[in-house]
Amino acid sequence: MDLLSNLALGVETAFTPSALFFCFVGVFTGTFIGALPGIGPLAAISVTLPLTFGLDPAVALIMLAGIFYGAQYGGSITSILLNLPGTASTAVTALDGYPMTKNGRAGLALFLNAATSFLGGSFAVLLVMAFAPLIASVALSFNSTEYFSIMVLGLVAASTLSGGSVMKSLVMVTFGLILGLVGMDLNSGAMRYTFGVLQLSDGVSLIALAMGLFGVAEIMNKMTARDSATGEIYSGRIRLSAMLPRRDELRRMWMPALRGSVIGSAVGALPGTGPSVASFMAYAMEKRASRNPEKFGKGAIEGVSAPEAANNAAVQAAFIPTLSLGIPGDVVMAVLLGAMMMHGVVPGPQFIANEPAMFWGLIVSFWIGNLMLLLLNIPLIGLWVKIISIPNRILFPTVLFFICLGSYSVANNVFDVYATLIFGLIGYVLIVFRYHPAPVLLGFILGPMMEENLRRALVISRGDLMVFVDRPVSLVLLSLSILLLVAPLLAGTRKLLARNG
Amino acid sequence: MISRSLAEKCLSAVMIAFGLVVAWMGLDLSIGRLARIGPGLFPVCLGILLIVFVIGTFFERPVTEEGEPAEFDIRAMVSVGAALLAFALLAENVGLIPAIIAMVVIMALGMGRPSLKAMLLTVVLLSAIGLFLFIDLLRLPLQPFAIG
Repeated sequence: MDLLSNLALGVETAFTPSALFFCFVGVFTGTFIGALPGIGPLAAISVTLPLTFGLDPAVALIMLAGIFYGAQYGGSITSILLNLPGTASTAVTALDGYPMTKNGRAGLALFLNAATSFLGGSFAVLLVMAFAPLIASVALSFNSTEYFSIMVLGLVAASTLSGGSVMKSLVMVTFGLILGLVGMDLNSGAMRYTFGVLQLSDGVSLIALAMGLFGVAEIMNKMTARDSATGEIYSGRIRLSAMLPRRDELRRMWMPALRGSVIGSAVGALPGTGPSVASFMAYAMEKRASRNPEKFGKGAIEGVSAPEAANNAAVQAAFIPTLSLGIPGDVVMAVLLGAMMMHGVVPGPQFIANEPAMFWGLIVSFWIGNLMLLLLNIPLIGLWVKIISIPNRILFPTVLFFICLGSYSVANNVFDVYATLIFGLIGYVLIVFRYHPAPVLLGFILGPMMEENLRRALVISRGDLMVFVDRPVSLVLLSLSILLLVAPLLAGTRKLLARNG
Repeated sequence: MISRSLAEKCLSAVMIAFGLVVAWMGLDLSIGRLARIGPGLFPVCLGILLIVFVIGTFFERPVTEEGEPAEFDIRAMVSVGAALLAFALLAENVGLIPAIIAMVVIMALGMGRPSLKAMLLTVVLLSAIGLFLFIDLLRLPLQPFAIG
């Protein structure tokens, strides 16, 4: 009965005309942005965030979340039709989706995308409904010690699990933590790293940082990649009848989608990982489990179903640690977390108890949003195909325009535009040298909270550092962090020793 | 053109210098004691950690081979940077429309083979969005043309 009354509260919040409208705006924008290879959901959320300041916080969150999971749908469209992933997490879909298009089965691939994404998203929403309140109720017994340790684990997991260079990710996390220090220290009133600039007394702007690192830097990077476009625009028509699968194809879709949903949910719920890792894992495991692995890469239904279900499940499951613990499950969650704080809402164990209407409204909006995406993607496929052929000479100035005005609108001050420019240049340098900027945002969001929790933990323990190992939950979390750090180093050392004989 | 490995080493040196500055400036703030940490402790620790992690990158397997040139597109950096700068300088002082025009023209020149038709279309589209969405609806304190 408790769940029913919570859902009723959620329906009341999510079915208002403004919530429905902005949910639609969010998923439509997300699909649009996801379909465009030039910019990703992170840039889209950063750019639209200032536009949400006048909205009710629940409605703003519904829209921003819609952009996030909508982008997964949109990114798959270009993966399937053009072999040009719109988002990193949909790169795997191209492995079998594009061969299906070349074999004349584009319609089926797009149907699989829509149906399995809906399945994966719905599965994960059920988990969010079940686990977020449970985790939040357990986390109510946590104090600053556990919170500090969870944040350490989140940052280490983000550095070690997302692939690429571990050390470089740790450098980025630390850089983000340092950026989070800029401004007035609330405990002592001391100004840190402001260099006398008044506009920095409130700290670095999240919008300027996000838009610079992900919007401006990406535009610079994509302008560089002159041969990135395949030059091939999909010109076939997609008829509804061609999208519907045969009975045996429908049968082959379900189990991979279910397995992908489970993998995606598990990976997405971990702090620091995201839909890219989930989709790759789901594909790899499906191929390994298949009786005919040789058909993967040539248009296997399983090769589209599993990763698509996984990436959408991961996106929804990332809300579990974000809403219940206040620890971002993904870098986009970090921006959403920042957005919630800007709207005066603090996610964490108290969030579900204090803001039940917002939490359950968001849950119900996930169902509404996923349903809208399922219905939108099938009849609007022709529109998406036209949209992905917008030339860069119009797209990039448009995106830059939104970035400029978005930065300006935060405080009606050109200083933030200059800050965006600086972070854009920094972000581009980082991209060129293969430092992924995503962990910077995680560090930036979590840094002030980590310092505060560290301070409180030490005040309570009267300066005794052993408090972090005396409390069992904290000990487990810190041990996991050390394990995650040490394991790749040990593996690398073993390889080095083996190579040197 | 400098090699990628040399460019990476320069970047690492800059990051180490950054970490040193962060730690050194943190020492100017009060470190406090463990029972009551001051505003300087976290910055000092982070500055040192940054240096340690940057040094750690030297022991990781290099991403590219020695001798490959760095892949900067200076033209992209300059044109996007100049477009943003032009917008920032012009938007409040001269007006939103001139700022949009400057931004679109600079971007078009940076992307090469500018098309007058595409530039005009983009300027008109963005001006309309700027006027109706940002100035009228969101009430940003910008003028289409700032006269005087």
